[in-house]
Amino acid sequence: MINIKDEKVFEQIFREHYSVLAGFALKYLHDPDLSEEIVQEMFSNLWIKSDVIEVRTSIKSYLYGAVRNACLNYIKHQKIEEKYADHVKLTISSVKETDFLELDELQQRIAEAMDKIPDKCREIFELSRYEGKKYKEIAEELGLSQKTVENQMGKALRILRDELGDYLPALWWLIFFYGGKI
Amino acid sequence: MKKTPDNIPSDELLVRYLANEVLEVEQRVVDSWRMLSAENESYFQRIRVVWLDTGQVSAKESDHQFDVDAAWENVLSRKEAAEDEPTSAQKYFNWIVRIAAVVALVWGGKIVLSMLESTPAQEIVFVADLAKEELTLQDSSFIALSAGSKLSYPEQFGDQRRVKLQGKAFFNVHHDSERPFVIEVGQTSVTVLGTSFYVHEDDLKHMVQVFVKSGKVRFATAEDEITLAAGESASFQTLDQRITKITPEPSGVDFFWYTGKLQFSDQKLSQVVDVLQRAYGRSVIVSNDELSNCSITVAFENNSLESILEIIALTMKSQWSRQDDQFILSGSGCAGP
Repeated sequence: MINIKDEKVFEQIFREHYSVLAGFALKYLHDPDLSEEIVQEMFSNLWIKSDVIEVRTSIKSYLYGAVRNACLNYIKHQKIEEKYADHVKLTISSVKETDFLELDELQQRIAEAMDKIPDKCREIFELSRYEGKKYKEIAEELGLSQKTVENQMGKALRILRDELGDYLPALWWLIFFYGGKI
Repeated sequence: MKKTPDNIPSDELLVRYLANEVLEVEQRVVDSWRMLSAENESYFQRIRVVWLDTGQVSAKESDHQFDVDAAWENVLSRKEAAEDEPTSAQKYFNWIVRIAAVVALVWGGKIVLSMLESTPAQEIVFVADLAKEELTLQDSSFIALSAGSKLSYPEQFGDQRRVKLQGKAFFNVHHDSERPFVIEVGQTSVTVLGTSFYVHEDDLKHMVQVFVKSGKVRFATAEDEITLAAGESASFQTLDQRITKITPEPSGVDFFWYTGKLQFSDQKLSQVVDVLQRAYGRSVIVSNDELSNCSITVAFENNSLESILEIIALTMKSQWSRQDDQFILSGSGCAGP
């Protein structure tokens, strides 16, 4: 087992994973400064509490799980905060609530679910989700009505929800109990 | 009994909500559905997690460069700062003190509060999201928050009672001469011992207003301060950074959000209509000048805008109508009774 209380060991883990984790957070938050803040906060907490936190699976799956959790938590509370607060306090939930997460597995599951979406429908979904295009722009680009775009987006969400809905929130249980391969 | 989410919005609406393609009214529909029950909210969160996770297979934003050295310095200094804080053994001791404090509570309250202070109290954020909300704090102070306002306060007060406000609130502060009650609002602070008053922060108009109902209140910024007695009011303007005394509008419209009351004493209808627009946030017009110069004496309490217009129309022998979002009063003149 790695001893993360050792500064040398900890710094090495930090340097190895920092940029990838910040990039991972960036895909949730679309804000580089905020992403860095979340990842630094997570690392500081892990280090400060290294005598109480017992990392039972691989360190990597702990790090991804903790960052994803912090990002989802942040977004969950953002709606109210952005309306009223001039600054947002970042909190990382306790380790008990932290999902352990294998990034490869997450990406693979999402890719598989995306494959279940019919081609045209997926194209529309990707233009909206990844290119950030408005329904109106997508409709014009593909020569469709806005209503069709709307229906196809609903369909894409339905497929993704059915494919991933039960899997994602329960992810850490899967890894925790079937953690042998990690 | 396990409740299941009900009246789930269509997938089409939900995905538009997530993709930010909703009209304001649709956003409100989804927001209020989410707030209706914990089951609805958790159903929504599950879908949102799916939506958010799909971002992980996007090629976007993957080439952003991060400064690892600077980040490491930050983490290092946070770790060092944390080491200056009490160790876990000290925290354990604090726990014993807290348990002792709880036991001491059985004999008498005063000591307890000073002992509890050593552990930083948890901050509670109270948001009146859609409607007026009322709450009573641990010191028995009563607070009403207008819709869209936010109050944060510690779970336990120390030797000061300190809260933070954004928006509008009415306070009825429980008297405690040894522990002043301080409200931080914008760049100002309002200090009281025990009294009732309104604090209105308006971000858009760059001002904070205080209206005192009873007792005395100290209203201060970093540079300026004023003591207000019962019935007095003052306003701080962020633009010129000055506190000036003001006279609230006699109709009571400033406090309407809390009292639901409006009163008019020999007021011109044009002024009445201005007040109604402020109170209800709706557009109301008088169709001709003759009618708008007529005076009226009347008081309302917890009326709908429609019923107020009905009363005015009856009193003035005029009519009211509604076109889209606009209310219109029309008639030939002051044909009062």
